[in-house]
Amino acid sequence: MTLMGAALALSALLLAAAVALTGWRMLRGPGIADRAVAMDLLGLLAVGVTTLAAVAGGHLALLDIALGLGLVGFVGAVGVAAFITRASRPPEARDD
Amino acid sequence: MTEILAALLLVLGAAIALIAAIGVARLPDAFLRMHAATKAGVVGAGLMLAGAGLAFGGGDAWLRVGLIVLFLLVTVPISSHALGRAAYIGGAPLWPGSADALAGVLPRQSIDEDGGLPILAKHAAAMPAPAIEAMPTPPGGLARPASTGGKSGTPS
Repeated sequence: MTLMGAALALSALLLAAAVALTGWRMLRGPGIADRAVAMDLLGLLAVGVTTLAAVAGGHLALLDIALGLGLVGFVGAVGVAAFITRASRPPEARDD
Repeated sequence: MTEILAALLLVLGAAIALIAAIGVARLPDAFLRMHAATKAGVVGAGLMLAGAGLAFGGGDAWLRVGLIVLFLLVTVPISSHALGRAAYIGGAPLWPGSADALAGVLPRQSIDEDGGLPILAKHAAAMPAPAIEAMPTPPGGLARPASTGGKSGTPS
């Protein structure tokens, strides 16, 4: 096994452990904010996994997919934050 | 030499991402978890991207890596700030060891024991409206209560 192959395998193992821990927090909660934070970190981990796949397969185009995943994670996190803020207001204070 | 450095950066980035995940799994409240997820997460992803740039080597690879890292550095603080603000307004419980420095600054919803949003539970089950603190400004205006103000707020 080459040096890069060993590094890729070790990185994949570490990232798998990270995804497992984050997924456990997302399933466990206890609140919607904890799940949203875990989802935010899952987006960052997805960027890392895609980068790893790009290096392992030699496909430069996967880095573009990493950029797209980062964008989706950002929009998703801001959307969930806006939803929590909106849903926390009492009905009489809503302007919509 | 370049390959050794690239491999080192990849493993280091993955290890820091794992540290971020351990923080998210182990820290006691949503705000501390957000703190771990965003800072360590961006450093981990950025180091892995730098390793990928070294492994590919070309100019177009470095262009993509630079773009992604710049994008992450711009957007992750924004999304984590929005999430933290929403968590506070939504009434996510604070760890007892931390002072509530935002009391009286932002409206904050009271919350039931299992951490769900009372408003959402109301919509789901058509229950009577839960107790919600005065909004948009609590009684006494925007001044902070003296008991929770500022730097000396470290409970024993």
